[in-house]
Amino acid sequence: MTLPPPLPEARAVPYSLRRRLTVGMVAGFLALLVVLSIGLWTYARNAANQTYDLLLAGSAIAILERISPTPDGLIVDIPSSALEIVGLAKEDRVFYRVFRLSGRTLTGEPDLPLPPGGVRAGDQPRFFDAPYSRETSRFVLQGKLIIEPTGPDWIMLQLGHTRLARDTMQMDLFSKGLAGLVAIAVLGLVFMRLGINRAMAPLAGIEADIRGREPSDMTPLDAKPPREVEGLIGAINDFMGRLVTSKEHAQSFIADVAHQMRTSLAALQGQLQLAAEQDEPERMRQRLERASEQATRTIRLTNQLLSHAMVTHRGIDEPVEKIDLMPLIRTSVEEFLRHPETEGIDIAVLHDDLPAGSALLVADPVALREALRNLLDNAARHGPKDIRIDIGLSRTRIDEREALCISLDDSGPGIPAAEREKVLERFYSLNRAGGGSGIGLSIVNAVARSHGGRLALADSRLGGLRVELDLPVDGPA
Amino acid sequence: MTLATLARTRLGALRRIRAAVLGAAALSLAAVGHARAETRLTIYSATDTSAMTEVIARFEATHPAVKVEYVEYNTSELYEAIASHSHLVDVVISSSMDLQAKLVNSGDAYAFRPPNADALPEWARWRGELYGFTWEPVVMVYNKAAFADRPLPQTRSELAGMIRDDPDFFRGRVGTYDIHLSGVGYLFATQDAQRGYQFSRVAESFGRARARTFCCTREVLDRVARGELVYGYNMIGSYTLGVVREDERIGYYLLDDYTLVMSRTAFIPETAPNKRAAVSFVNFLLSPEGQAAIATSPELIPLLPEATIASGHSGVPGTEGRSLLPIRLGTGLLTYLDRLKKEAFLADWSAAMQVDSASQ
Repeated sequence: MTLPPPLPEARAVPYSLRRRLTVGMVAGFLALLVVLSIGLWTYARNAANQTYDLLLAGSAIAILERISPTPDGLIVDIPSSALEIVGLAKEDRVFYRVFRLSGRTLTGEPDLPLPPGGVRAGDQPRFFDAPYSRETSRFVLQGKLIIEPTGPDWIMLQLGHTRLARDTMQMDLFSKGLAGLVAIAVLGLVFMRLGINRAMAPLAGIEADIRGREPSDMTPLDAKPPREVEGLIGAINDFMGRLVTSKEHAQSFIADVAHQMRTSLAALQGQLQLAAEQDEPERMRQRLERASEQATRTIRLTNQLLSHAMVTHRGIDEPVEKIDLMPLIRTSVEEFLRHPETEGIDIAVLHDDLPAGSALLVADPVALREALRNLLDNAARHGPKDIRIDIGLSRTRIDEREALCISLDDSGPGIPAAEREKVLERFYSLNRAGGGSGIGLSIVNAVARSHGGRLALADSRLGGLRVELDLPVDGPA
Repeated sequence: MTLATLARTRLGALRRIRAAVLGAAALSLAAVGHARAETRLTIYSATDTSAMTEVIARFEATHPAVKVEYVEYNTSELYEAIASHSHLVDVVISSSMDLQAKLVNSGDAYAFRPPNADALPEWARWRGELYGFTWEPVVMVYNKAAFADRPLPQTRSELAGMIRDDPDFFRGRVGTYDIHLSGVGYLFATQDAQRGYQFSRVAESFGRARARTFCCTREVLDRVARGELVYGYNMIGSYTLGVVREDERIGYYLLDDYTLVMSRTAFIPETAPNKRAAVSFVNFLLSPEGQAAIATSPELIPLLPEATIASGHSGVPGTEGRSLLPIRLGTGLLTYLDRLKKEAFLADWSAAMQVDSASQ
């Protein structure tokens, strides 16, 4: 027996947990970076605007202070400090306009763009961006109520500059913040990668352990797996355990078969030998009849061994068909009764509590037929000629799972309670002399197990043995 | 003659000089047989052609494919020409820092970065568009004979006091810029005005002494040399230095309270047809070679001190240890160009100077 081949290479490209985690994390970090960048960009813009708006506001105050009425008319005396304060945004161009609310320009650039929504009287500064002189510029608009000889009038000051310093500051804040974010993201990814490698290390150890083993080494893995793969390691160990058991079973089966065949054939040869040594035709005929019986037993044994091997082998492949038990039982019984030696046997099939067509279950029909044949055969072989057999079909449960129960009651000699466990083993027969090979019930047992069901033996109300074969409806777990 | 007529006459008298002679280098190259595509670099400048001859010759020598056309203007005329966008010009040069700043502020200038930008003093460059390339202190000149036996005033306050105490000596014999006519004169006056109240005292005393005003430094220097004037206020140091070297009769000095320093500036209009050549010309002006060329002109002082020293040009003797106030390029210069502000300032100045036909 050999180990199953290493992971099949047929599966195109196996996905990498490491890559999946990395890609996931990188995508997550990128998404986070984008969101934070948008926030950072807005923050940087607001911060730059607030900073430089103060310059505009301060200069506006200085200029408005120097607008005053005189008997000779309005004086607008732009203080040089005002333009120098705005000029603290060193590389930016400065524009201003002093005008009456009516729109008449007193001094400055007459074509400055007005704020969205137009000019309103008021001494609160209003800030806005507007395109001017081939660039987007930032303006403040602020008014001052002047009492002139002709009456009160609002004098408006619009002061602005290009956005160079603001954009530079915004870019500076943004790029520094972004550099920090990117650094954190990169560090995060590096640490994450290290973490993944560390987390994956036990898996590599397990792989090395399995690859490095002798083919016959089936001892459990001694890796100390993390919780997440503990189940996997457990499953591998279980699997290896099952391989060991299966291997042992196969070995003992082969040994048993060899022994049984050898014994049976030796007996046949003994009978033939004895027959050959007989001079009297009558005695020779008797000996030959014995030899023929022995040959029949040997053939039967061989058939049963093959049947057992087949059932065991089929059990490996999971049954997928959903079949109706009722016709299966019926055909099995008919087939059984077709043999001449079954004459006189009385078989009844009882399924009162199951309407026709409802005894459906996922099972291997060939194996089930084999099991039924063996059960009937068993009853007929060990019971009287006119044995009565009742076959029943009913619903039951295996643990929490829905199941069907096939029961066989016979009026035969039965099996003492103490022996019931042993007869399920191979080659254990209560009645060797009567032709029992000791394989029949063990075949049924194997079928029950391969279907995830169970086999139970009990006393029958007919006085003989009651066999209950429980099979889950949805197949083996 | 009224002021207005005077102004028109003066402007009309300014000739635009095509600097054909400056094409000599290019012509000689053509003669050798270089059939090169020529780039014509148009420079509009408010600086005497003679002052720039050597600089342009050296530039043309290193850039054989470029032929310079140098057109001379006075500062206000130059400002009007550029602001109206009616001329296609490659480089604009002017001593009027405020008007240059205003042109740049209007967004008409082209940004570029000279290779040695970081070596240039911060006050002499703005926005990567406007670059100063000379260093010219504003000085006082006097007639040596007239002041032979009297002390020179050492501060503006002393100057005002002396004029008040000795009106007969100074009457009609103090000269300065006519700030209505001269952009540079207006710049100096407004810079003075920002330094404090002393200047209004000086202006008042000028008015009392019936000080005379002129368009240009040279006009004042000529009259001081002849003794027609005894004192000239706010003269451009570089011109003065060139004249003083040649003329024994004139002296110059710096006042103790402060000395303004101005810089001739150049920028490239956004509409310049030959930006590449223009950039290489301004880069040349600012380069050590260009600065050395500037140092050879008796009428200009280079911006970079090492150029002054390397060429043996002594700069302006007497500037060491003085409180020098460079005029800073930037938005602050726009203040006195405000229409109302300028009207008010000129009105105040005229009132103080009592400028009328009688002063001439």
